[in-house]
Amino acid sequence: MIEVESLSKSYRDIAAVAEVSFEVGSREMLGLLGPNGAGKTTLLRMLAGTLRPSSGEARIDGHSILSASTEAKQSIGYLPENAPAYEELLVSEQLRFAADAHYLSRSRADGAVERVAERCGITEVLQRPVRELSRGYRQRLGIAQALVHDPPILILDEPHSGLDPNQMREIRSLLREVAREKAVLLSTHLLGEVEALCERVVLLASGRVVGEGPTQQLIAGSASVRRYRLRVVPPVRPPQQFRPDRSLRGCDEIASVEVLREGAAAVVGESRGKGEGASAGAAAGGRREAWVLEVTPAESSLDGGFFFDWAVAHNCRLEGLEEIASGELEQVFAELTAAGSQRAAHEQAPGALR
Amino acid sequence: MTAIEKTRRTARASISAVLRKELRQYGASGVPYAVVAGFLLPAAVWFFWFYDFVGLDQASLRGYFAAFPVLYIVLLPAVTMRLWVEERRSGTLELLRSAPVGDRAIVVGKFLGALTVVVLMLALTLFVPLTVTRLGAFDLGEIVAEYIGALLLAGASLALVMLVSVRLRSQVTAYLVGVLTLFALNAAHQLAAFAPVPRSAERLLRAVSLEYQFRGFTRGVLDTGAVGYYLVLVVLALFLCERQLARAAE
Repeated sequence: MIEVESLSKSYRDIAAVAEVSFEVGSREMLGLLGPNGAGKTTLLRMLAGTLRPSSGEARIDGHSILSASTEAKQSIGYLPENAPAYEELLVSEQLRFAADAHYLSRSRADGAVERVAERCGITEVLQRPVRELSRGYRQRLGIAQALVHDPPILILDEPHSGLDPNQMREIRSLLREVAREKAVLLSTHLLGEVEALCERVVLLASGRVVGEGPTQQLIAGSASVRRYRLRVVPPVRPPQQFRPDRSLRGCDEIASVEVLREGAAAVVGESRGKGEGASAGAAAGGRREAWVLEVTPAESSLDGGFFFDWAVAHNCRLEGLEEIASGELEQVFAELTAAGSQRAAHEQAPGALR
Repeated sequence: MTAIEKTRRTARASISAVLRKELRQYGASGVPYAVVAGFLLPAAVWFFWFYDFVGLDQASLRGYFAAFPVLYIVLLPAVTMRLWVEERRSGTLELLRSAPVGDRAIVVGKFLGALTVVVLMLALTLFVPLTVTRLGAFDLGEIVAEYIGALLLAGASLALVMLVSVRLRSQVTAYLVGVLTLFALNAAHQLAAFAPVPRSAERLLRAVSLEYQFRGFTRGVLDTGAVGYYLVLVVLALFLCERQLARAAE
């Protein structure tokens, strides 16, 4: 439904959007993520036909945004950032204008306004001036005016901005319902909303795509967020000073090691905590307690087998190995956008190799 | 339906959508009421008090219409000052331009909206001729020419102030730039009175002066040159306005 091919926008020498390509299929909600200044709004404006690209092409429902912009505009419903609306108009008049501007006949427009108002939950404020609306109603009105001509594609720029948790839940539910029948391109800062709503995500940084794919796959595939929790018992005999966390930190394949519980030599069991077990155990010099570590690999290709090999090599007993599946999109976001920004800065630096 | 008919129909629907929106906004804003009052009252005071229409004992409204260019300079920028500035400030220009109506329909729709306010204003001035024509043998043709001239002058003035405010971001600036533009174009022919200019330049200044071109209408003359000049100004200013709007998107 939306095909973006090498779309770029430059202001003098500064690339706001550089060679961005992606697609959004029908009945798919694609999340567009990126830090401030990443080029998200510029990209959406080009797709909505309010900003002319410097190069590249995009097709909206098969219509080029360059050569068939009228047809492309007719196929989208667009909610710009901050849900702008005419303050002086009544809500019904705002919706009526959106219907008129998309060539709905008078009879169709009346029905469309009523339907969309009901769907978006703004029927009770139809006869109120836009300037009197709360933030939540304004966002709903923005979505309603984007939906009034029943377009196959929705482009939404920060539809959750300024909403309280209850309003966000309502908008999320509305978007979920809309996404069942339309292609939706959703730009937002709220990573939780993207995780909750979008099957796929495109990450932008410094105008470039730095990550793209199914949301869960992107989270799971990120090296720094796929972590392992280990329960390791170090060797009883020398070297007494052996610390599994230090040993793992010394491996090139490991990015970081966090000690959740520091084990120590113990006489009884391994269930005692660090405080009480450490002194007694160290004095006794008998059986050792398990260390609990959380390890982040440096390479995405690293798997659990590495830890078995490491344990054998260091005469440790690996009592438990658990992959922590629930990574956070926030970490993926930070990791990929930081890397993308560095790459962009490097490429734009004088004399940089391309 | 041929492709041309379809294009025309779409263009009409686009302009009509923008025009209806503009009229709803004018209706809710109170601007037309202030402008109409700000026009009718000073025009009447001028005509009956300072011009002393009754004392002059002439069956002509020439003095009444002579005040129009001055009042236009002060009032018409107030009609158009919010047209672009408010759209840009509130972000609705982006919303408007994302609709399939096109930049031309946006410009023409806004122009027609502003012109509608002026037409309403001119319609309300009819109470003056309707009242005074009973007092003597007025030339109806002269009055009709005066109204045609007043409408054309208003159209050209509105198009010009729309053009000069299309890239501005403050209503005050838009108003002041509008006033200055209209003042300069109305008083252009007066420059010859203050500075020695070649005869050809004097002719040119008279030709471009909005007020000088209006004088013929106040005498009841429908000068085709003046009509053409005003119409060309309207088309040119709106065309440039559309170009400016498109350039802002580049």
